[in-house]
Amino acid sequence: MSDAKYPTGGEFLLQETDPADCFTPEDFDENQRMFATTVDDFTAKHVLPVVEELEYEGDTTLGKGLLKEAGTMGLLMADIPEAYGGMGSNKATIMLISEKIAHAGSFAVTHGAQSGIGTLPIVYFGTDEQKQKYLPGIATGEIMTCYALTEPGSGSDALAAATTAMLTDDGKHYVMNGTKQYITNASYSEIVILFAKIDGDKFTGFIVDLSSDGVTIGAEEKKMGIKGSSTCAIILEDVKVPVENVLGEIGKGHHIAFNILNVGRFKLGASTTGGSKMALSAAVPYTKDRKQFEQPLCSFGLIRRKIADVAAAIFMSESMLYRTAGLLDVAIDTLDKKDAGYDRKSIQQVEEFSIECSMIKVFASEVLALSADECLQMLGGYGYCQEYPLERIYRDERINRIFEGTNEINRMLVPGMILKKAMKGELPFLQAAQAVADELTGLPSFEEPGEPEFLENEAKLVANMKKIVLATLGMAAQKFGMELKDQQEVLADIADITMAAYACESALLRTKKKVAKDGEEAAALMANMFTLYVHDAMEDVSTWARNVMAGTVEGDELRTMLAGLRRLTKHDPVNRTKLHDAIADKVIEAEGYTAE
Amino acid sequence: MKIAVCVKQVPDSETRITLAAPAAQLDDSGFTRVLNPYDAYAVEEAVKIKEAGGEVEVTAIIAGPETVKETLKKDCLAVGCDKAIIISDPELVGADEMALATAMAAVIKRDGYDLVLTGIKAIDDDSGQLGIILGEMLDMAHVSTITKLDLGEGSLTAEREIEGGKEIVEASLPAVLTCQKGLNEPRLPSLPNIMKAGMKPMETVTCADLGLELPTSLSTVKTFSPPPARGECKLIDAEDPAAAARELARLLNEEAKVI
Ligand SMILES: Cc1cc2nc3c(=O)[nH]c(=O)nc-3n(C[C@H](O)[C@H](O)[C@H](O)COP(=O)(O)OP(=O)(O)OC[C@H]3O[C@@H](n4cnc5c(N)ncnc54)[C@H](O)[C@@H]3O)c2cc1C
Repeated sequence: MSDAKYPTGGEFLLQETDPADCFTPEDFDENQRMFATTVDDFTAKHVLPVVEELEYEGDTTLGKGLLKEAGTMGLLMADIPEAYGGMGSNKATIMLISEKIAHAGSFAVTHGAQSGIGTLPIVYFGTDEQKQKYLPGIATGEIMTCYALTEPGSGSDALAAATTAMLTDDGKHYVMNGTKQYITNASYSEIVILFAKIDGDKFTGFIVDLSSDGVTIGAEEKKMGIKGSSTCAIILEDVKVPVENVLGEIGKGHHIAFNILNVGRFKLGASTTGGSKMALSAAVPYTKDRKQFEQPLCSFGLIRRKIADVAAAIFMSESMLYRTAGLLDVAIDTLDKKDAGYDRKSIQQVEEFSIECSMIKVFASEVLALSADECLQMLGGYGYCQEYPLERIYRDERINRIFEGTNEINRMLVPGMILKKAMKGELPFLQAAQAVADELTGLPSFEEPGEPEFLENEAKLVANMKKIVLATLGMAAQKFGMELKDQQEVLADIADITMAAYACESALLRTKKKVAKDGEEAAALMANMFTLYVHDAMEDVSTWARNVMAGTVEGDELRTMLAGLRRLTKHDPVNRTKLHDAIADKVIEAEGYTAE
Repeated sequence: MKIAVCVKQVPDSETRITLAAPAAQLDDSGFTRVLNPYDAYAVEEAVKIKEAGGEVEVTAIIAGPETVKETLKKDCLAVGCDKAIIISDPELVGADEMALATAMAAVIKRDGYDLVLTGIKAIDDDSGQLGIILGEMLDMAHVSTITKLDLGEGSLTAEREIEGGKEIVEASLPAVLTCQKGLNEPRLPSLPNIMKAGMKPMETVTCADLGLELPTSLSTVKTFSPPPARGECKLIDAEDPAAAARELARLLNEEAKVI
């Protein structure tokens, strides 16, 4: 698809993006903004009053009623096409809803299982009959649905599933046997999207009615966090499933599984971004009220630094999240909605961006980890006690680095998919990588820098980060060839460099777009958050890149490469205290995250 | 049946007001604005009447600048009102209840309504006069502070809160009712209804369109000032209730000098 006019995944590494083409949260229209406040209102009215039961007593049965309530408000139908009773919303809207629902704590996970992984396989891979039968009910919450891929023996290695499906002699049913584990919402769902191997080898998706004979739902798992969400095993003993309940093609279950994970990942990026904002909102007002040494906590430099660092990290997540939403929407908009294969084609467009989806998942879930940890610390002992929400946010955060593909698995996918696209000729990656390698080993240029323009130095850092991705990945691919997939540490470092580059570029584009629209002064907070982050990130990128190089080449070659790298990573430190102060002032005034 | 719901957009009660010293004007640039919560009871009641059946048309009427449109769309049209009328006129900026009621009454007279609902008061200026003045100006029956409503043929029965109990009032239509908490539980809009609300009619009129001369406001706000700083709170040890009561009486008499 190298000649395609619409964007494709990974392309950001090889080209410049016009800030005007970058979708940002500032671009939300009136309906989207109203959706956002409506989701907040839903949480305030229906979820917060039962927080005690959900989050501390671990009452997992409440999720069902809350889902029904969410259904009547249309909070389950964004992903469902209009023809089947949904809203057919674009990805930016879907992400905004996922971001906002995060404030509902465990219910966000319940909501995600129903409206995301439980719904999308039917939307994208179902037949018209299957869509007619299930989607309208799923949209309103009359039908509860869930998704079962994981088994006791197969988690990350999902395709190693042991559940089997055997065709009956009359050819009308499959008989299924096996155990699925850790299935969100299984306890009250009517149906499940379940993966099993036909004849023990053809990995296939099914829609299984959970009231069928032979289905047993296991006991609730006793979890560390998200205690209000239901997580159970599904045990199948000679369960008869009609052949018309096969989802997609026989033997092509991995298409469904991987594509749904992709969507799940960007949604998780959205909900963790929302979670980070929630953590900051739970901490900042406290730091204003609480006094020690006769001063409010928020006047201490180290507390202000935490506030600013967390806000800047959230700004990064948010910028890359919605930039990706915009890319997906542009790609999907090139399709003809009237085309019978529209839904299937639109998931293919999402697949094009699997690099970005994995990056968002890892980056935003780790920003949430930082936010939860630092915000809890701001409350001291009070943060450690259940009287304040940070104790819960801290526990709830943890799962996000595990499900929807662990962060390790997603890190491996990032460079892997870039190379795959390069091999297929979809990205002119190798040529670009060679050019950077030549630059690194060539003679340095000695042009005297003039007085830099606004953000010019920082923009150069971003451009250099992208070059470093090309240099390190190109080098590793050349050196290790097909064995690169076994060099996990090298791959993880490259993934981290790529994420830093994507995050920083997304934040830069967003800031530039704001400057173009409202001027430098209005974009001051964005510029400060970006500047703070990009300088820190360049230090990390430098370390990661040095490690990749040292793990890949040696001797003179290594020395030349390191010298070239030093030119790319060179940057003068910034006055972090000044930046921290400027950012913290705004966040403290807003009593939570803000980019305004 | 035609129902008019008179509503107002007010600052969200969680909006932070930064006011260091007395000022002639509030800096409202950063305010988040919402539908007055008492008006939400009026909207909900009107929509419930409509849903109970029959030919019912619900119109939300609001006075204010362009920015009221978001409130109208999300909190009125998206929850079931059929259309909206905005009275937009620079003269209404900062106008008192008398002027506001004059403008609203003109719209209500122009279109003719059987029932006018509004909140008992708006949470920003807390005056609670609009509904009562409307009743007078329109020469309609008026029942205030209602917590229950039953509509009959050309008449209504309403329960209203009074001190220490409730009063049951029968009235004939047309009537103006002001709605109190407890009347109903206002619903939230659904996402698809927010989208559809954008298609519902929204009319903007000026006082000139209505052929109106507004009465000069009888009251004007001169300055806003922050509330005085709260004094120290004194806690009396209540181990021995009789002694605590004596100490309380002494403090009220000698220190607070209120008894
Ligand atoms: C609360 C909760 C809800 C869940 N909901 C659902 C659901 O609704 N549906 C569903 O299908 N599943 C669900 N899961 C399962 C979840 O997706 C899996 O737990 C996850 O995919 C990891 O699999 P695992 O637990 O078997 O860990 P493993 O795969 O055993 O991994 C253990 C560790 O090894 C690492 N590792 C594994 N393979 C590699 C590799 N190749 N390279 C490097 N490191 C590796 C992992 O990153 C991890 O750190 C849920 C889990 C939980 C806890």
